Amino acid sequence: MNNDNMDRRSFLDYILGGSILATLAAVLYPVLAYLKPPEAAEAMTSSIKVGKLEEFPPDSSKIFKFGRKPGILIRSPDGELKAFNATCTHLSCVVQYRRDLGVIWCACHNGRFNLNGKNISGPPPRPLEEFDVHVKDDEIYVSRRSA
Amino acid sequence: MRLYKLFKLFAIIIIVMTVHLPAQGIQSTCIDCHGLLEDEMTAPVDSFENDVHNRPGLGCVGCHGGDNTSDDLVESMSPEKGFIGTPGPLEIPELCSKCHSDPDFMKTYNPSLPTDQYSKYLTSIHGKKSEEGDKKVAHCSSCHGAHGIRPSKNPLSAVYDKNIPATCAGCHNDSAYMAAYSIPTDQVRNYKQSVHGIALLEKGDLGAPTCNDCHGNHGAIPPDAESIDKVCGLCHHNNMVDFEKSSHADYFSLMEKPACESCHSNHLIEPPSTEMLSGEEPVCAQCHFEDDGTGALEAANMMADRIDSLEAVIASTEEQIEKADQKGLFVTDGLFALKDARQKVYKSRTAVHTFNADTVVEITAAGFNQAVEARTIAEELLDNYVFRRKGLAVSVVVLLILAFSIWIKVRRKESSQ
Repeated sequence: MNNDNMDRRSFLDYILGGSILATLAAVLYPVLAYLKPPEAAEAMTSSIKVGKLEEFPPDSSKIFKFGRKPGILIRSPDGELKAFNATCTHLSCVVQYRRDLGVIWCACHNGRFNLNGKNISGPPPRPLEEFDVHVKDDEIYVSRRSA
Repeated sequence: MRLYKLFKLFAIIIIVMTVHLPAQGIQSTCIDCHGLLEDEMTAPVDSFENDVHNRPGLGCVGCHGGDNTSDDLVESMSPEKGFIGTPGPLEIPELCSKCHSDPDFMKTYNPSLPTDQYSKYLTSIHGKKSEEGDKKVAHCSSCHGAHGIRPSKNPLSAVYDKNIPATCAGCHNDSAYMAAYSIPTDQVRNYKQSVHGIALLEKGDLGAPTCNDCHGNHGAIPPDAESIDKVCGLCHHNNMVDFEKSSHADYFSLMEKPACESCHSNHLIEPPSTEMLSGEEPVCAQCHFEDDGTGALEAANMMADRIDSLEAVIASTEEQIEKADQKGLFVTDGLFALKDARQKVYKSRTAVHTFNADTVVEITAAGFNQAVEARTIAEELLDNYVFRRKGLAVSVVVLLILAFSIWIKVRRKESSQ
């Protein structure tokens, strides 16, 4: 009888001890996970670092992620840095810099924009959205223009 | 009735003569008189108010001649003062060209406006027929109107992009009017159902081509077989480049077959689909047949199959990405990979015009990799989400067990005391 009581008690103690350990784990896991949280989408990207100035010789370009949209950074032949939303204003294809033509070009319907982002030929109905470009300590930062 | 009209005219003359206006106050005696008339005699006055020529002060005499400063009916409309009355359809193009073909004159009003409209018009079917004395063909005011002319960028203009199909349809949709010319009259009806017509007229895409983008406006003429791919290539540049490099270019030229039109039709251009390659009536089968030694139909089937498969993978991946997005997970990387995959679909559709299945296979293979990358990102995100949910459930169960165990332990303690 006493042995039965002892067995039941120790079983309950095991359960209790195990539960306390599991509870500690359940409490500690989120704490540890908090230190390395899952990636969550930023409400609206306003500024990002695109790269180092030395990576962009004159007459070069790079497509980069700007929030959920692609951006395009262009260093013109005379060294000026320009950045735009790389989504064509016609049917949302991604535009590219054509060194041979000296324009921003959309392969989908031959739409062309000048290096100020203005639509100059083809179907695009309006200019590309322009971003601000800042260089600080040889790093290039692109930011959304405030309205 | 005639007596009544004469009486009315006489009354107007009396009114005009009795109202003494100082010479410098008279803007236009044409408008003073015609404004008092009715129906077609006063219509020009009303519509000219918004005419582009009215704003810089170009009045009635610019086209009709006469003297708009004279309040004398006979003098103001005398041939000696250059009055020509209503110009006939054969005279209108030359009349308009007096100003519009004169760069020096146009510079003073609108330097950005071209001055080659009349010379182009003479090269058009309309212009050539007009030169032959055909009064039915379109001339300047057939499209632009006569007294309510607005700039082409004005949405109220008859030659505003969205209004052009209706303007051309005014004649080209009228089978009785067009009977003498033995050309179809279904162009505008077909255009409205085409991918271009729907884009322009229903979706409001002003970049979509309207009649004059393919035919020209003042020099309107159907593009010939040799030039049609260049006309379409204005927008579909890569398709044109691929086609011109392909083995088909020479054959089409040799057979005088129009390049794009042979497969896509002209006015009734439907959105391209892989049905054109492997459907029940593939366009390739217009020239090719099974086992004709070229392997064309087999290649067409393969291209269609690869593009369809890629699109199917993209569609299912899109669902996964959307599912993850709705759960607030970070899907940007997946979206970018998916966008790249979609670009490969566009690219592979364009590459169909190389008529080389290997090229399409190569592009779609890259697209598959990007779609798989996007899918992997989405699945990892969703797996992680499920793991966290399960973890939460386990934690809750453990906490309940703990609470229950403590409750039993406390009861035991109490009963043992």
